[in-house]
Amino acid sequence: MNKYNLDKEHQITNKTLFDNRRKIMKSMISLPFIFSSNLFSMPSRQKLKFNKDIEYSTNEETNTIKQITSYNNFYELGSGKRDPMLNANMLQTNNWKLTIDGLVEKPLVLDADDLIKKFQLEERIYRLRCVEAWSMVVPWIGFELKRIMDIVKPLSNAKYVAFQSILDREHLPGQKRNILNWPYQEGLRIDEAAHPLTLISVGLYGQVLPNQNGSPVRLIVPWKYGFKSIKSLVKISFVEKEPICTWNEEAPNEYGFYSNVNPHVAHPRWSQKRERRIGDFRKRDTLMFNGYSKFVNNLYDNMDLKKHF
Amino acid sequence: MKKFFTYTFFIIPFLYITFNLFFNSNIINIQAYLITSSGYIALSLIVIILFIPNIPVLYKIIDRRLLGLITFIFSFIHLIFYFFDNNFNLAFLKDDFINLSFIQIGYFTLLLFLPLILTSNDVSKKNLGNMWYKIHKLIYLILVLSMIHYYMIIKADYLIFSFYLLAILVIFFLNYRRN
Repeated sequence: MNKYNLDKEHQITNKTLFDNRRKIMKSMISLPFIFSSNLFSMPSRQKLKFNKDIEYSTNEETNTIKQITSYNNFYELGSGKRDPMLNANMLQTNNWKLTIDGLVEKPLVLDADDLIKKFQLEERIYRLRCVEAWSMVVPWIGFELKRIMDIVKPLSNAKYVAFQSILDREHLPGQKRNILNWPYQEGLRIDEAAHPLTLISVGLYGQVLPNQNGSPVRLIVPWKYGFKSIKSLVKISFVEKEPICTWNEEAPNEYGFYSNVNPHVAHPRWSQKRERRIGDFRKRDTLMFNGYSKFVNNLYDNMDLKKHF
Repeated sequence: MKKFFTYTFFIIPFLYITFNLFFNSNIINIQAYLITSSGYIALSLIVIILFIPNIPVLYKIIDRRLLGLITFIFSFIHLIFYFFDNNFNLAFLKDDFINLSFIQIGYFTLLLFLPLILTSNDVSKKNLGNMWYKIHKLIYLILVLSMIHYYMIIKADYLIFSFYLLAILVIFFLNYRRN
């Protein structure tokens, strides 16, 4: 927050005006061509301390911060790919609390400060494959979800983990209409949640998460389609039964509970055999489990992945 | 003058796409942008063509036959951009053609333009007489199929689609009443 001291500034300027200043400026200048937003560079965000991971990180070229922050699916901020960036400041992250409850020995509440200080952070460079057949490589900062599980100690009857995103109909433009059944919910089987690849992310490119990428805390499950990696988490619950997942609820024949990246199972309306890596000229083949087979194959032994897609 | 004015319906969207392509660094997924923008332009042009007879001023200054050709050109560009997205790879395209119904509808809709394009000249219009008007009613079918093609690729947010649908229903009502 070095250059942009929000607390002092909003005492003299109307807060909504201040929060929307870039948008207002942009809309005044840009007319139909929105290219002028390039003139405004991204404000620098709080830097994080982290170790670099080599075990799970890919050495592929990462996508640029510009690509990662201006081509997003985050329906709470609008359904267009650019909407999350344009509406980023409508996500209110003050006094954020992440509650971990359900079938656990010790429920836990983490605030924004805990999230970046309580756990040793590491950089994980993961591939992200969207169900819409595009992909990116993102240098996330975070820690394994397993670390939280070690603290709260799930009970033996906890078989699944349910995740819930922010619900704020007053501020979030996408939640003013029922595009999806808000709040956004996701779920994992408990062994998937405990897998070392499963990350709780608080940052990318060495800084805290930009709002459009799911600030202040989100899930990353790199071998599943991107929509499983729920953003702006407020609640993690350990439960006995398979939890509701928003896209699965929206179209059960199109988005399964597992939603593992699988080139052999087509989405009913488009192929999943190939993907466009953002920035590439040619399409590339999609890999089973998004290329994480050697780490996650054993989670799905004896399972028919065409049935449990 | 009428022709010149009608050409602006080609020139403005064409320049808009080209300009964005080369100067708008906010376009992250270029191939997807080209496909969607050309699709929206073609769909909007069909809506405009069918709306024009309801506004006498527009009817005087716009050449609807020429605008029809322009619509076909954008639909064709839409197809070429889709080929481009698939690296012009025949195996990929065949795969889509066999498996995806919205792609099949897309090809079929584009084929429906052919009788319109082939008879879009004064000689045909004269020779075909009443038949010419019947053939050109195909534009309504093209519009319906385009909307189905569009509907089938929407994930969850039908807002923009419903604006198109509303506009089309109004036009259908107006045109029906006029006839």
